[in-house]
Amino acid sequence: MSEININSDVLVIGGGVAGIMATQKIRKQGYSVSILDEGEGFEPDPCYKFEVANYYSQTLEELKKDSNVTWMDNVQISKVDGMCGDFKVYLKSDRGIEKKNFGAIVIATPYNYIPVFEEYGINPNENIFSISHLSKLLTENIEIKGTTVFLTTFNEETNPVSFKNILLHAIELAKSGSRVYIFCRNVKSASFGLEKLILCAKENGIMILKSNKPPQVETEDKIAKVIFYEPLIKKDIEISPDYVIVEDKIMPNEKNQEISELFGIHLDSNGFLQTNNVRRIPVFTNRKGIFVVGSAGGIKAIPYLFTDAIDVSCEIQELIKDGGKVEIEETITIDHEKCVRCLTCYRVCPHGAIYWDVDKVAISSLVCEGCGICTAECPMNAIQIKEYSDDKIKEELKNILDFKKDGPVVVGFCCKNSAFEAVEGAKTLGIDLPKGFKAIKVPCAGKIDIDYVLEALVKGADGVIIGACYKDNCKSEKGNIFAEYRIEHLKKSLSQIGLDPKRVELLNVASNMPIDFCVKLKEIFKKLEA
Amino acid sequence: MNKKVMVLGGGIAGLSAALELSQKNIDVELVEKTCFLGGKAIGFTCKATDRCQQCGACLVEETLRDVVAQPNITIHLRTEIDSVIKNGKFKVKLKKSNSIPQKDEILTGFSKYNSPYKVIIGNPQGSEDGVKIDELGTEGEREVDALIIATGFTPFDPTVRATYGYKSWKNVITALELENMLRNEVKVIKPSNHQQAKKIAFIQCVGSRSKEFNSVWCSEVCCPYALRMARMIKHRYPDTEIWVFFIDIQNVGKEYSSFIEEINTELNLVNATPIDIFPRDKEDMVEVAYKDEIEDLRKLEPFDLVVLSVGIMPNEDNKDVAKKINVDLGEDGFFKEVNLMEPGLTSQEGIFLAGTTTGPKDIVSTISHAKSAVCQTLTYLGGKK
Repeated sequence: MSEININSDVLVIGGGVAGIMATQKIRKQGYSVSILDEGEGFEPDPCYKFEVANYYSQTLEELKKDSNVTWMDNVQISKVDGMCGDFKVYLKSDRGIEKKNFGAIVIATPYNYIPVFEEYGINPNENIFSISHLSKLLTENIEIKGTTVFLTTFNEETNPVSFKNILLHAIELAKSGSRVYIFCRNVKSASFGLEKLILCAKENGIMILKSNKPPQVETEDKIAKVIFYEPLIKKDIEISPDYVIVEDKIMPNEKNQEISELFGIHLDSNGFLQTNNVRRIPVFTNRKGIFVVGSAGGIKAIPYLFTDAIDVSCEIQELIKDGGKVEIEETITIDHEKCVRCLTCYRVCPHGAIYWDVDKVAISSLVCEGCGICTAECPMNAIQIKEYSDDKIKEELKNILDFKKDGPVVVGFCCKNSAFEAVEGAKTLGIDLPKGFKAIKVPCAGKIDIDYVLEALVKGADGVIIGACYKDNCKSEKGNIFAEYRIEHLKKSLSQIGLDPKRVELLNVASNMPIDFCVKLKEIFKKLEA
Repeated sequence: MNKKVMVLGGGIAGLSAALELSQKNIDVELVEKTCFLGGKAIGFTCKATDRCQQCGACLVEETLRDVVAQPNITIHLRTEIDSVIKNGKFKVKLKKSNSIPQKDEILTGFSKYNSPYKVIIGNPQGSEDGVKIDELGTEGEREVDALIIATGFTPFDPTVRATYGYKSWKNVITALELENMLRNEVKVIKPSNHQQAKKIAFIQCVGSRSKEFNSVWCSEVCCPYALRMARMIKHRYPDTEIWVFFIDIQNVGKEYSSFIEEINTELNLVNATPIDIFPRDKEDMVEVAYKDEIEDLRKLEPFDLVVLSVGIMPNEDNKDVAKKINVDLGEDGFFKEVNLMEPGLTSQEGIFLAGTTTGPKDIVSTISHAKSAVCQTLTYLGGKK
């Protein structure tokens, strides 16, 4: 057992809709919140403004009166240390650098908006502008009246959040007497109430025109001419609108990259702060105690900003509880006699559970998810997970290979999140897995040390399979990638020493697909028998 | 004494809610109308190609496994609510439902083995570890502190759209049936002759986005499930030719820009709503008649299999349940959330909503919505003396 201290203050980064809402919900759980906004101060995100502006300002007002909310603008994060329960955040401002401790961190960086002028080769002027500019003009009660064309992203297509924003603005203009056209490739209807809004737009005389080809926009002076192909009448149509409104493409916040590096959070391929992995849904990141809500994690429609805010407050409650000192059972150990302080474990841990403790490496059992990637990568075998120690696995291996063979025997090191679950599923479903197949449960494919595989082959297994989750589905992000890489190398070594590399295979399988797993196993047995 | 919450519905929303509650030390009475836990999602296939496509089907299996292992969740299968009296707490009278498992529900049998019960129909003797169908179900009263409604949806019944020939022609199936087929057989089989289907058509928006059927909403899940299944099939059986008839393609997943690029090369996407479907070659093939808008021609295209992407409709029991618990339904027939900013709240204090009972949601959104409903419930229970 070890004792750790859980701080009950929470840091929220980002003062947009998601950040403010999360703050409100976390306050309701009774924790103090420091809210940091590095942007233009506290304002609702332009793409949600139409719907939640009032709610946002009410909530903001309510929170401003709350003495347990600390507002930090003109503050930058310069360094982050510590981990779940006790993060140490170094904040830089005019007053110098100040260190603050937080039990949990919520990232709610707002979107970045890029108008798609370039896509149409046009430049903004007083008749051609972005939707956020239109929004501003309408708030200032400046009259926009006349034929108006909305252009959405064509090349990568738009999304329901942007499309809803366009519709809301278009309806507003149409209601005050403008003739409105919306050009798009596909109408985006996949969000709560959106189909009805599309209908409402049509009832208000708005023309929603679809085409695979983006409309051509020509500008002469400040007036635009829009030419588009109308597929129904099979002709080019030309209109000269008074206004051309260009969509703002919703992009990840430009600070996300920096935040990702500071906090050790993995980005998705777009640059949002949550990897494209169902196991992170709704508010989790690869690091325990650091959460993402709303716009920080991906493009989300309004209802999911609210569910995120509530969900994160509950997760934080679960984590911090009453705060203070907590006893943690040690699940993982380092043998400091063996450790050569190479820091391989520190580099490979996807959860940030490993740290430098004065003169030695240490692992936080609170943060450790027990995937075992470090145990397999450690060149000195100095790290052991109690539940899945090398001795335990080798003992199990010995037991299952210690019997008389009757046909080929294949040892399967099966990830408990996928392949092992599929094996269990097969058992209960009454599906016969190949007779010589023997499964060993491991916490993650990343735990499987090459030593285990070699030991299995030496002890008489005809084949070894590694049962792993599919890419982008690993609870520890990269456990399956480590496994793949190790197996590739092993296969090369096997063929160099004259053994058949086909004796070792990696199989991807999902927990709910026992029949699929069975089919794949049978193929492997067929290969081995041949 | 621990607080107690009744969760109505044992699909992914109800399972997620029950699990979350039990982990917060709340006792749960989980009431499921059918004989099995897992709802519709338990029959869904993994849609991975060489990588996960983020459909979330695997999460259902895992949630079910965890629910069944929790000692503080009491499961009532084949049970429904008879009446509810609110008097500070809720007095809920339970009764056995008339639900009888479909024959093929047993034969394909995923959920039955995953649930803690083995149900026996058509075999009065039963086996030792089996429960006779008539013995399943709970009668009697339970007192609970709060209720979570997680009764899910009813898929659109495509027989209503008679020209599509569902139930008339063997090789016209629903996407739910394809999900089950892929999970159980890991290949696409033509029901007419049990041969592998080489040319498949998906028809999108069957029942959704329709004034005619009084369903003016997008079901949100059909483009994702159809396109993901299509990609999975294409990955496993590259020779398969797949067409998708659509009105508008909706965004799929977080990394949509690369997704759309890839499906454009893998699939044949046709922007048209088919008019008619009829068989040929003794029902071994089905012809899809559609209007090619670009060439302005009526065209016929033969397929081995047509898959109808049926939409999410309000659960057919909603009116009945709403009346019993005295909660409002929205104009579309889904349960109504009274405050957009506070997901899961109903017009009745102490009754909360989770999942597709409030409208279309995919698996991951359902799980996150169910978590929110639990948070709302805990706030209510915490504040209640």
